[in-house]
Amino acid sequence: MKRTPLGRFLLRAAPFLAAAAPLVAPASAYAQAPAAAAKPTLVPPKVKSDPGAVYPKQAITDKVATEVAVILVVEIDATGAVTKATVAEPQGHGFDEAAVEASKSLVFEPATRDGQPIPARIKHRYSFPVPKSIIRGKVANQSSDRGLAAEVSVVGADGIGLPATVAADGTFTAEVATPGHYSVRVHVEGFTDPAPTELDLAAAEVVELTIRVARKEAPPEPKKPDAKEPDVEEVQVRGKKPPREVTKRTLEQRELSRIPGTNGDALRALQNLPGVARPPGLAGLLIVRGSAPNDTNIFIDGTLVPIVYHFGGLSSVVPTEALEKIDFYPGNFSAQYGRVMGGIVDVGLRDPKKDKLHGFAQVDLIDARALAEGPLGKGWSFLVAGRRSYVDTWLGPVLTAAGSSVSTAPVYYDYQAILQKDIDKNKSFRLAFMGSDDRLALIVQSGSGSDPTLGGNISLGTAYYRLQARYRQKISDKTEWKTTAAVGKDSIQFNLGENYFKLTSHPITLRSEISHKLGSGVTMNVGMDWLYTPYEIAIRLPPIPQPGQPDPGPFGSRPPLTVKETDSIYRPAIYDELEIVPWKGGRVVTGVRIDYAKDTKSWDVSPRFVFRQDVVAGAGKRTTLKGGLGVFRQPPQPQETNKAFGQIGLTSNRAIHYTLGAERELGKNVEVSMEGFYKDFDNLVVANRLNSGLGQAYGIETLVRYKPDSRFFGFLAYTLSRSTRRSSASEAERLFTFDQTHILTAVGSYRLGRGWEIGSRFRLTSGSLTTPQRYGFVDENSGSPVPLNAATNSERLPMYRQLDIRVDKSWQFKTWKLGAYLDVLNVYNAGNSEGVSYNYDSTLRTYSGSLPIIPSLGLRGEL
Amino acid sequence: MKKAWISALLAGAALSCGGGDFDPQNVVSGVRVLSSRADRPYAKPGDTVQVDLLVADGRADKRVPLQVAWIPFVCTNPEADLYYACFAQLLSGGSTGGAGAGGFDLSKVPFGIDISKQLPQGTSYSVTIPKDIVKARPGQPDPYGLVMLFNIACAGKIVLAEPDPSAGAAAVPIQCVDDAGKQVPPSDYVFGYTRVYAYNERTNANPILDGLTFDGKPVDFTAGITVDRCTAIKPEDCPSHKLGVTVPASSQEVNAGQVDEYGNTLNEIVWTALYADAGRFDEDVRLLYDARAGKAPNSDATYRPGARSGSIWVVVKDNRGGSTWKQVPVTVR
Repeated sequence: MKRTPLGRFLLRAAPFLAAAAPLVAPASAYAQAPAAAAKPTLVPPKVKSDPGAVYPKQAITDKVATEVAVILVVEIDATGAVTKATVAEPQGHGFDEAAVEASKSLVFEPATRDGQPIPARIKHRYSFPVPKSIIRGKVANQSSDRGLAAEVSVVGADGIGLPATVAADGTFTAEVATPGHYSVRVHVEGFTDPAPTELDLAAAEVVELTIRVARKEAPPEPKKPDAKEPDVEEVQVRGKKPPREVTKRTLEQRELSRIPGTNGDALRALQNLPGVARPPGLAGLLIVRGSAPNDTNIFIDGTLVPIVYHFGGLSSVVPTEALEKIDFYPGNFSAQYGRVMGGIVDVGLRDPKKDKLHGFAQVDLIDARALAEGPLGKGWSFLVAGRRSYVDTWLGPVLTAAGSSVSTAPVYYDYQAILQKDIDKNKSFRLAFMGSDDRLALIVQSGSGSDPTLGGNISLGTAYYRLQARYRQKISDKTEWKTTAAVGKDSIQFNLGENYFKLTSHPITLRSEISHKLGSGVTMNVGMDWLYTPYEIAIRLPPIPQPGQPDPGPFGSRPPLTVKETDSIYRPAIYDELEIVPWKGGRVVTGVRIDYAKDTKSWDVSPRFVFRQDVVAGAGKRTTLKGGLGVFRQPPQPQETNKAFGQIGLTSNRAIHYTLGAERELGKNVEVSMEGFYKDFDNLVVANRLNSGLGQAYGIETLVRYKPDSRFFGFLAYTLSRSTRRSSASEAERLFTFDQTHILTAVGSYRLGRGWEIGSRFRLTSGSLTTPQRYGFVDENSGSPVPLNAATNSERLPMYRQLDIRVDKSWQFKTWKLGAYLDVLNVYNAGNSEGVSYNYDSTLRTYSGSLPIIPSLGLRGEL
Repeated sequence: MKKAWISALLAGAALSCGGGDFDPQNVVSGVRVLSSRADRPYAKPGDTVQVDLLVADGRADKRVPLQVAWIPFVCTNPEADLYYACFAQLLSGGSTGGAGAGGFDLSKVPFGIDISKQLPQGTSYSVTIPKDIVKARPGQPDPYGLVMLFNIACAGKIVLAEPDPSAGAAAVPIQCVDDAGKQVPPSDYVFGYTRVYAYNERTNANPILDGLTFDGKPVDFTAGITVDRCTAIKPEDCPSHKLGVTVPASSQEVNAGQVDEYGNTLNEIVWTALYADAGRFDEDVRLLYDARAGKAPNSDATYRPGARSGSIWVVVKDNRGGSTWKQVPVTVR
């Protein structure tokens, strides 16, 4: 925080006061004295009190590196009070708001005409020099921790040293005026010089260090205890609070928007992380650590949403530009999350910008999107965004040419609106409205000979919206409260000839948590997670075949089951967690979650425990061991408890997660992590056999990541895993449908300069599993062959490999920015297999192809 | 650029719809059972129902005669209406019936013995629907009963198969073997099943095939169709002809008791399945009447002749077990 001194203001304001002379001349609205023939004596207003402006946080976030001045036009009444202040030349980054806010505290001696106070209007300038960063710390003996008189120097990237104040006890302080890269070097007589401590300082950042040094050589007799201790340097840099989970993977904005093969879609970038399997074909699925896609829940700011990807995974339902962060927990997640036994994705929408109006528009071959945001005054700000696909403009004609009558061409859109009020620095309120809609309808006249009823009127539609209110308050230094409530509507509908599935629900969710610091190193989080969903469902479908069952014959060969009912899902939960820092570098989080499910009338108690321990501290070489153990319960799916399609008497599925791993920093930008996981499933729902199912998933994930710097970012992720299921304890184990043994992803992106950036992604994964089939029967009512199936998932398709390349180019103009990108999927057109195609009676087979080479070109304009 | 995306989407569609450069289902090049037809598609308890099969023999070598035999076993109300749930009953000597069954009990027959002469032969078979067959079921608006009949079209000997553990519950219990006892290839046999549903109230009539048109002209079912010979290597290079199937609107009956998600009454789905042992069709199936939208706007099929004469078969079906068909000779010039 930096305040402008009054004296400096007067000095700098002098030219403006002079320039403002015509302005100071009272306008008619302000001049109360009548015009006189004699030249009046005018005295401009003088500043009596100016507490100064607060340096805006946004400017720190935006890393503004130069001094900024904001000129206000200030209207002053005859008492000297400021009645209005407007910005003459907006500077952005929060400076304008800070200046206007500061002007409310200005007090003037009023302007006078012939000695009489009069209203006046003047220019007033606020300067915002870049706030200094502070490096402070202590040089200590490695063994005794006693402070040592040392020489400390702070050297910038330009090689110029900065003065540092060093006390006899080894404490030191250095002020840094310009953000950037600095080295802290230490020398103590008789001790080995440690390696320089490298720092990247942002504006107004305070960094605290403890630099420990060891003696240069063994001292003469008597031998001191620390004689043979190695050189050790420990650096503690103020950073983010460690996660409550064993593993929390967060991609930075540049990584999210630049990973090739994702079209810049952040949520599609998730599919590249360790533990996430490649989804088959164009399916928009998240397959996490050997769990089914519906074992992973997606939240937007803590509110559950039903889908994350539009049709075929082409893009996600929230545009990257509206995101602040994506937190991905592949397992052993906090007790604040429940009702699933796979993973959690929590997407955070960002706060609207508050300095001025911003916006962008983007078009590519799939969709067009736009976003606008800015301040509304009085602490309010807004963000609106929308996207619409135009696949319909070309896919509709293609489907028609293929013999279908298209009544609704495939189209999707999504929208987001945010209204935010920063009440004060401790309280904020946000209202968000978001949703998406996908739909397609056509009449297929040439159906499949093997399933003739799979034709006729076919339509598909998914839609949801949420109205979400979020309130956050820092009640005290020790207590924080956050609450998110949402109401909305989910709609899933498809028709297949005379069959249909139509589900309309109105979920109401409330999530509230109080975090209280009980004492040094102990924080308690208590919360509730409440879900109430009234729904209407209408289904007319043949019985759904289950995995492992023989082919039941053509889809329409059995009389359809019909269900039409109105009911509700009620699933309240409470949880309690203790975050404990028992000793230096250690962290333990233990919690319990209690869930109730009305549909199964069952209570689930899920205890959880995770730990992290820094075994080596210090920037650039931090090494952390981590692990976790927890119980995760997932209630049955609604169709599983339905009296026509499911079973009565089910309880929740269960998984016990075990995780053990390590993280290691290798220098400033590189970090390596490796962890093993084991998931023990039981109580799994099996058709007609209640909760008899069992299973397991285990593997090792490794990640080598180069965090984004000014030029490069990249990572190499590899997962080795296996996932199996059994219908009951007495039955043989089979590979789970989404099992993938090897998942290797390599991503790199490099800024070439002059607005050019080039990146590449390579994926090599085990092939998907398939169930071989052979010649069997003929269903004579339909004339369709019915194959005989071999053991479920007993064949694996060949390895899948794909190389994607992305090239970005941006042009910066005076007031706006233009960007263009070319994202090419499957650059060398690798002939991958996504399945096996059989002839009509399953006597011949061939692999069915995957994506060909697909270039996608996009343009983007940004204000 | 657009083509790339189109290819991508079609590739995705192909994943579920199959693909590959195979002969389509409509090409008859071996023993095929193209359809069954019950004289009462929805029977009543106690009715005697006659079931006919449409069998086509497209084998190039027909020295081994083709026999069509019925398994004298009436499977009633199998679990979840699944055909393979009948097999355990079949092999354990469960209920038998039907004309000509003669009390033949498969559970007492050794594996590998030719049982052709013990089985009822021919493309027709009659069965009496048990009077107590109709049962209420969860999720079904009306109670119903189900009879399943099994048959085999075999160019060889019919034997009882030894259990095949690799096939699980759906292991085929009957085999068609050659003189050496080895199973004949799939082109020489079909093991099929037919379902006959029984309701107390509901009825269904077989659809009516009024006629055919070939390139817009009516077809004489006896004289058939005459086309130019086509010897192109790629069938799609042969000239195309439009085959129209005329089914009166009255054949699309109301699907009693069935409503859509908005409560509107649904009608039957009526389609035609097309087969040829001379030439081929571009489509295996054409929709004639949609359950919601009614008559399909363009239901003509595309026929491409080949190098030799033969037949085409036009089967019209509804989705409640109704069926009718016509065989039309094709002569190439």
